[in-house]
Amino acid sequence: MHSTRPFEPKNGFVKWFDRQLPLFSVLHGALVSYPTPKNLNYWWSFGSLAALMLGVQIITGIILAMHYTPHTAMAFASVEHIMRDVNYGWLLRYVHANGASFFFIVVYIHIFRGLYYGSYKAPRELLWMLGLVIYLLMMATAFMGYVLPWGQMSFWGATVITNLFSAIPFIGTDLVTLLWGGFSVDNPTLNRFFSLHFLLPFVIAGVAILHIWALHIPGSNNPLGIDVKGPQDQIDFHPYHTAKDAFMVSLLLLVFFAMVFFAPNTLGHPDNYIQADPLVTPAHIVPEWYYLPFYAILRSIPDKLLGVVAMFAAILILFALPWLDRCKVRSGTFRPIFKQFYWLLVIDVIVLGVVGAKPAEGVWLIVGRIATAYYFFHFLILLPILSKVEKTRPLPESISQAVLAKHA
Amino acid sequence: MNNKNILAGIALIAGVAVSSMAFAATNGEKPVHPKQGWPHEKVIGAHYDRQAAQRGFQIYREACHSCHSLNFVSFRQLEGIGFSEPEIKAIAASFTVMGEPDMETGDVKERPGQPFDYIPSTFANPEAAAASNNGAIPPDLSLMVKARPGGASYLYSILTGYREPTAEELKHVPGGKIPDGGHFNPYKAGHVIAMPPPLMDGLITYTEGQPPATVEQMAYDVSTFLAWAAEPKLEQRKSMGFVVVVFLLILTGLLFWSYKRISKQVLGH
Repeated sequence: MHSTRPFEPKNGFVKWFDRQLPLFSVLHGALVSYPTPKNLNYWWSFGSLAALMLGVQIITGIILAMHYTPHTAMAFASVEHIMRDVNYGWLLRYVHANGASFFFIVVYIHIFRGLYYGSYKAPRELLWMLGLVIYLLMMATAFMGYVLPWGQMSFWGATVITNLFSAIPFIGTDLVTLLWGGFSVDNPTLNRFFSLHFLLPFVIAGVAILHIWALHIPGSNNPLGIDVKGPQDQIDFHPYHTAKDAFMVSLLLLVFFAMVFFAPNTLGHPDNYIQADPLVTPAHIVPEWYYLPFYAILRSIPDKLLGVVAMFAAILILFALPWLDRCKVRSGTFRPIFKQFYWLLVIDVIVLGVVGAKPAEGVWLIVGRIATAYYFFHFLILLPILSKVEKTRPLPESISQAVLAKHA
Repeated sequence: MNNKNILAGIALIAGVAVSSMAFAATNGEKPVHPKQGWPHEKVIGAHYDRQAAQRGFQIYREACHSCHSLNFVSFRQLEGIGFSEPEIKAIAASFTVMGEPDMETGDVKERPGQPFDYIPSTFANPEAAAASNNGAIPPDLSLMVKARPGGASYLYSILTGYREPTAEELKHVPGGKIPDGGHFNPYKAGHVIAMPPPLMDGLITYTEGQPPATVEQMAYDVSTFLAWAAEPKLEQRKSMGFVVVVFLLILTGLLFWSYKRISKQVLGH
């Protein structure tokens, strides 16, 4: 991608530094002169918002780690110490706990934006897959983070989820013992989860850099899904997107802090304010909301091993998406049938989320099975067929022409 | 109506049906807690009723403390419900805590509490608590209000909810009868609670000028106290939150305006 504005530093130090290590050039290319399609809508801001939430989580997490004690006898009390005695500890903890949820909200919107506008299609398959790697790492990180307060849901959630690995043939039991560092979820488990919960966010940050790098090679997709034809279709990242993203950041923080200050425990489970007790099982063990659709898929399959396979397949299938949906037209805007099924998929995932929060019995089991079946049907059967038979609407000549027509 | 709209319509109906089923399921299972006008649950101007919380501390001390610990609350924190420093010193001194090892002999002796001490538990260990309570450990109350759906209203409901079950209600109790050592309470999950009714009218003697110690009044007071114990930074949180939200409202407005201006300059629209 060629910038319309080459980097020409005036400052002597910057010149000297950049000659030896072009750090300033790279940052300038990413945040100032990165050429973007002119027609990006607000949904394209969620990448920046995800980066912001990662930063919020890392900063609050590092400070929380200074006050937290990863020991089964002290973890719960150390969290209360943070809530009661550490200066603004309550704020740090509520920002970090709700920050995880908001990171997922932002990332889910980011993923569903990509699904609608075909951002996973060539030449952006690798970009899409790196995003999925980030998502998987986020799931692992958030799961281990939820164990750290050592409440009832921490302990029993950890027990249920780690036990899933015992379904793997031959090595399952040994693998679970390795995960636990013993024969049940106990102090070694808490210690390794703390260590990994501290490590993985930096791995996420690393993959996020690769994700952005892979974005800057082909450049951003856009709501029309057509390629950029020349400079008339583009605009520099700064000042247009810096101003737009700043507005979106402020809007996100408004909703986020309204939650942090006025309803900080809404997304959590009351049982996690009861200290972990291996002898008392909660009536319903429910994972955090962001896992619920996958939890519903897991429980909709009567066989343990197949349930685990289905749950992981539900995510891994997305890695194959660029080859399942071979329609040349990227944007859902020009795919009348795809568009309808896209919204059906959105509803399907929400339904799975609702089912995941309910006990796996009666009508919920049936709804869960139908929704699970549709999820796989959508990706494995519907999309490959649609990409062959769907009659797409004519694409506009160019981005600038479409923009001009819209604002004529 | 063409095919597309029909499809979208079906999808929408399915979604609405499922979410309304979700609501129906949650409302059918648990009784609704009587609504309390808790001043600490307000959005603007949220505060703990200091008088009620102080009376609530008295109730905790005289009626709850013999079984329930309050491990995460120290005497110094009682400043948060309006006790003065001399009052806190007096309260702390009226409790006996295990002291520090003697420098000469290494013996640990009991001593009067100090403001920095945590409210001591009646029982030396969980085993002792279980032994005195039919094998069931009375739960710590520090976080009780946050550890149950419904918060302070749940606690109030439990404390005022003891009564004889109707024949219809008894059918829903597992086994069809209240087990020995159990008590009927419609607000408790499963409708049977091990704790005997802890409050009765006039149980506590409030100081002069305070309202009469009815069960309802005491339940309100001790629920207020325990709400504070579970979330002592609530007042600070909500008042700071008001400033933050107003600030972000203005900032978001300004940033939207500047984005639109820049958009006009560089894109022409």
